[in-house]
Amino acid sequence: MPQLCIENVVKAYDGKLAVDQVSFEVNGGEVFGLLGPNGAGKSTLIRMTMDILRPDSGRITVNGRPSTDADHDNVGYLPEERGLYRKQKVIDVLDYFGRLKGMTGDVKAKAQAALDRMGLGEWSKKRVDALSKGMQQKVQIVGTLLHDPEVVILDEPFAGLDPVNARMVKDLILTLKREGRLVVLSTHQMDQVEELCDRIVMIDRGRRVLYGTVREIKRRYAEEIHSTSGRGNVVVVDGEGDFETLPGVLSASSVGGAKKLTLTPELKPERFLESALGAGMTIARFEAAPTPLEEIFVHVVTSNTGAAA
Amino acid sequence: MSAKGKTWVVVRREFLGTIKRPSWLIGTFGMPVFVGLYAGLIFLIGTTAGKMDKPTGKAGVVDQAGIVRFEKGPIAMGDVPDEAKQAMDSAVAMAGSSGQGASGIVKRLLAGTEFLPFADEKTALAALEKKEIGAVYVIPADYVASGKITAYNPSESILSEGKLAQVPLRRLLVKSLAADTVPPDVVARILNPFDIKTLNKGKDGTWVERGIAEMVRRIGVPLAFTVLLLISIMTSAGAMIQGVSEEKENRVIEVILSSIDARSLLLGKLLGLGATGLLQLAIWLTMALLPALMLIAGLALSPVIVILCLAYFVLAFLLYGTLITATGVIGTNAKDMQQYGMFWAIGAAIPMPFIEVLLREPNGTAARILSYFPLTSAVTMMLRIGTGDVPWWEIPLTLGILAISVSITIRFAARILRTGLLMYGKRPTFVELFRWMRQA
Repeated sequence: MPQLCIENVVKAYDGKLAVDQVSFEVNGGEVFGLLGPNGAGKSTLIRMTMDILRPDSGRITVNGRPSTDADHDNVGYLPEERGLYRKQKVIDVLDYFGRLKGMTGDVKAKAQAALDRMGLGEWSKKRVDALSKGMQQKVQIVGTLLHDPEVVILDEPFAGLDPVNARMVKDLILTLKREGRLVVLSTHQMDQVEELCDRIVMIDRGRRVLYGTVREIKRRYAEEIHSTSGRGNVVVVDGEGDFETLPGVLSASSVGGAKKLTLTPELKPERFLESALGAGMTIARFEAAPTPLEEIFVHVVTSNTGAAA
Repeated sequence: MSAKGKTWVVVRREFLGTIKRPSWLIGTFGMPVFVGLYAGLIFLIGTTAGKMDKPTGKAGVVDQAGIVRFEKGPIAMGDVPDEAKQAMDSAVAMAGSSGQGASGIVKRLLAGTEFLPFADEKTALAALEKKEIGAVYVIPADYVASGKITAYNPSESILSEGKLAQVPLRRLLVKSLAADTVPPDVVARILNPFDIKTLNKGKDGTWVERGIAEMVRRIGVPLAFTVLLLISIMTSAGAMIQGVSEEKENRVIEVILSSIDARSLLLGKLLGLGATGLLQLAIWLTMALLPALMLIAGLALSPVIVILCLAYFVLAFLLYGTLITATGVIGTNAKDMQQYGMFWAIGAAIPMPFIEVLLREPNGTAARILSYFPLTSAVTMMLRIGTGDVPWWEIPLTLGILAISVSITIRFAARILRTGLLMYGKRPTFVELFRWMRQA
């Protein structure tokens, strides 16, 4: 199983720290989220991992040793800024990308098979600029995975995709995970992160501000967010009764037939359930909605006091 | 895969990608056709001009002063030195094989003019009307005092008979005026005061005679290489910049740089595009084989000189290609990149204004400085080798300087390339450039 290790990496541009003492570890068989606002240093970090840039200090190791050319051939990289040769045939571009990654033999046949799987088989002989943006995106993904890499780094892979294709890419990522590959996913779409990632690291202004499993981070931050925002847990209740009149309810809105209630920070969901039942209200469904990752993201970025996690 | 293997992937792609491009095919196969058409056009104009104004080689003279001593046969334009006569003969042979237009004029120049006496203006002008003669000169009675004569010349062209006959007429009048008073050998000196022989100081300090024609023959091949080098640098480096700027604008570069290091990428591109440049030259030479052979037959063609020229050519191409690309990368768009990069092309042409100094003193201080300076080394050495006086050790020395310069330039250029290509929309300062170069 591949393993990627980032240790105390520092990179400065013009004396300004773009990445400041960042460490994390990614293992094969997991989808790892690399998060952060624009300009946080994610791209710099990815470029250093790809050896396009060199860190000023710190260490980046693959499988326990500094990366070699062979390791680069074992990485598939989908950059945020997509790039294809627009005036060339799709199959020729893929052939070049594959050979640059060390593929030999009939690369075109492999590329054709991969295009077929992505439903782009008949476009292989077309020029890239004849393809729609979404199709180009899929071609780029084919190019990223063509050489069968063990380490896959995807920067905003869902950008420009319609829901059907986004689903396709999501399934692809889960397949990569099942196959034991190491997937680093950088995205702003928090719902995708919650759905796909096992663990995440969050970078803000070059520093690591969150690191751990999604579950653990949610639990850790729920209370902090509640105390600073003055708003507590959110519960969804379906049943009969004026739930919003109960003590400790700050606000209410309807979701479908149910009510979504925001409680005071001190009020635990189970206490609220007890008091509702105690008041003689009937409850068909009760759900304590976890704090969305998005809220944690916004909270951490806006209130970043510089305390590294 | 090794970095070397990947370099070849880039070489292969750049080479095949370029030669399949319509613009390259048109340029390569169209150029000889274009040159052929151009030559044909000149030939056509020459022929029609020749037919319109067929030279008679004769002019009429109405001698009212009674001083002219008419001679039988044409009077030449002048006493032509042997070297020039040979050159003109071969020029006539070449022109003669291609058409009469140009050769007619050359033959006319060499043949001179025969002057025929006429009793009066009327009969002379009648002969001119019938095109028996090409021009009429009237020498009035007071000619010796005034020096004035009148010419009847049907055409205003500078290559008309009236104009061409003026030089032989001058000689005829000098001879006529001097005939009885000045000894014939002095007349000959008045017409042609000296035939010069120049001695130059050779490398062993002795004075040696060196003909200009011999010199031109010897530096022909190096000079051709110099011109081809300049053309190749301009076109191939231009293609290089176009390719790199496209990769930068397309953002493909990030994918590429994640697969191959900048140095191998740069080297691959240079070799691939350099190969297309050499292929283009080979095609041009093949298509223009006949005229090329004619040219080379007259030039001193030694295999050693050709091999040395090729070595300088390749090294200079790598050096300039690298510099042009590295400078070009700083630009934010293709147009900028072209402009920045082409700045260097001027450098390659630096020795050209010094060509006379280099030929006159191939081992002088100027020649040595230009030879050891990497940017001017190749062109200067190619020209100097043609003169045949260069100490042998200067050849490995300058080739070494060039090779080291290429290797250092590629290393620094790769660093600029890596950072510059990933930086979009912002132009770096010199301080930043320096920092990029230092960054490992």
